[in-house]
Amino acid sequence: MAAVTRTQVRARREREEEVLVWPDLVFIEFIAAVLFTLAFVIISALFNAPLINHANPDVTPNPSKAPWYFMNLQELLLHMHPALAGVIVPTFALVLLAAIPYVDRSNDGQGVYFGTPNSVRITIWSAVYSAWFTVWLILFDQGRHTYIWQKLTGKKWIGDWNLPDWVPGIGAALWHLAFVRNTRAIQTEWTWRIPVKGLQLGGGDGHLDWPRDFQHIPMPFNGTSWPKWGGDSGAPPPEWYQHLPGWLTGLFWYDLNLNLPAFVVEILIPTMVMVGLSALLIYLLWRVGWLRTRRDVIVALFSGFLVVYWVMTIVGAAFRGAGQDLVLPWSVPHIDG
Amino acid sequence: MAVGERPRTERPKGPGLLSVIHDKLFHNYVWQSIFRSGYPSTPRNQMLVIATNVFLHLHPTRLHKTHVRITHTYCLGGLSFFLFLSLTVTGVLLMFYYVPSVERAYTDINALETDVRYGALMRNLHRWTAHAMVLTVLLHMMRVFYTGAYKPPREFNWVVGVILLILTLLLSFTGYLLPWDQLALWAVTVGTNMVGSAPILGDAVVYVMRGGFEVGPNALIRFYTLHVIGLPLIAAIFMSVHFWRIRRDGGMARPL
Repeated sequence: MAAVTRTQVRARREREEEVLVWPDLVFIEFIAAVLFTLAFVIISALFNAPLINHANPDVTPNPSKAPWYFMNLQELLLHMHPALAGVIVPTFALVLLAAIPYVDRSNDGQGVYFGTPNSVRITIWSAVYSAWFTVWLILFDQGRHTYIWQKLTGKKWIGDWNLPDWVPGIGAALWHLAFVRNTRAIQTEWTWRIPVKGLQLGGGDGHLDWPRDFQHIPMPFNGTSWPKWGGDSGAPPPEWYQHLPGWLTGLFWYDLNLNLPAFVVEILIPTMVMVGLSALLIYLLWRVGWLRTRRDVIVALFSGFLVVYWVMTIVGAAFRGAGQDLVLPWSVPHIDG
Repeated sequence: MAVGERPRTERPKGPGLLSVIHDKLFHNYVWQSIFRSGYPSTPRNQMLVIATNVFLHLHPTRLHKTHVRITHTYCLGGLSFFLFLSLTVTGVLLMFYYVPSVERAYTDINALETDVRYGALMRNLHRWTAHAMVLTVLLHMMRVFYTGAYKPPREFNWVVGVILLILTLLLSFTGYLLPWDQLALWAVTVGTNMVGSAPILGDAVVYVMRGGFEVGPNALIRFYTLHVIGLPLIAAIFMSVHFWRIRRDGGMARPL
């Protein structure tokens, strides 16, 4: 009986906190619609939508840019393997985004901004952290940190020091420190070789040319037309294989020669950086004791994601000139043909 | 009382001319067949108008007062929907003049700018509204996230929202190709190339998207069809689900 009375009291109080949708909401919506219609008519009267020369597949504008909301992906594309940047990362991001409510299942703190005690500072800290690292990673991958270093100190960057090859075998690979110039230098400027003299591994002639073979490491499904069922003897594929539809054999037959330096530079390092920096963010926030609930973790990750999205969009839109080179906004060529 | 003066009595005044006109206009048989409830000037009629009007019945009749504060939502969800409707209107007008063929697309857009009265305005409106919609949808997602409005029982509506975000991006992206200028061709080339880099199925998917190996006439008609009918239909279905579930899940989120 007492419980019933309490619910009734509560229901009455809620009724008093309610307003009628007409006029209190409908009028706001109407005014917003009118204001936005006016604003867009004015904007459209003042600024023309871009229309440049007729499409011409033979003339590639430099730079060619995606629509602005995909410029972040185009920016990502400059730093890692296209499959990773163009498909895998965005797919992961969208799936994780959709999964948020299934990770953070608690009912607490809904309906108000920043529902947990720490979420404002978590948001600010994650935003600063993500912006800082995104900007420096972009600068680093373009080798711009060496330029900044030289401007500030007047000295050459460490990566350009030609250190003597003190330890033969380990040699230039380590001492050249190419990787502190940018990530791609690991692939292009390092001498990829096994640091043990006279080591011979496998292969037909008992000798592997490692600098070359690091870029063509054989994988199980490997070849150009069909699997080498009979090994090098060249036996024909089994009967069933010959009746498979083309797209399926194509699937079997994906060229999986592993290019190890490219793999390290384009897939391994970017993945480690993306996962690692996210993990580091969470770890740091956990160590300072700000993370109390799953909601806090999600707020940190989501805020970081948003900032990375916007920073990369801005960099892609305003700081990428001809050849997607990193330039200042006023040096980005205006494309009109 | 003076002699000859008749005694004054209080008498109700007869209806004035305006009331008579008002009565004839709004209380006749035809009007009342269209609008079943009276003018929403009383709480009863205010609730009835929301409940009985097909366009207004997306709303509940009452709302908690925190939800009408502008800063609670910044109207972002509603604005996204409003922009979608505006895009439908301007888009239909643009379709009167636009033929999605490689021969005509560019000249049609050019003619829209120079020959068609208010053509440039319609195109500008369509373009800027489309950019704005991508923006409001993204901002709406941020609002929903930071108010924790995805929490139970609204989990699935958040997923529907993510799908609507993807559909918004696809709608904008498919529209991007239609002017068939250098900007359009190469932006879409860059965009579809990204899909083409997907492992294993990338080439096949990008071939289906473009209807060929490069962005050409087939891509134009595909993008056009998706832009004007395919994606808007799908988006409309998901929007219906989105709005329906807001109501079914108890309106907008608020503290327990």
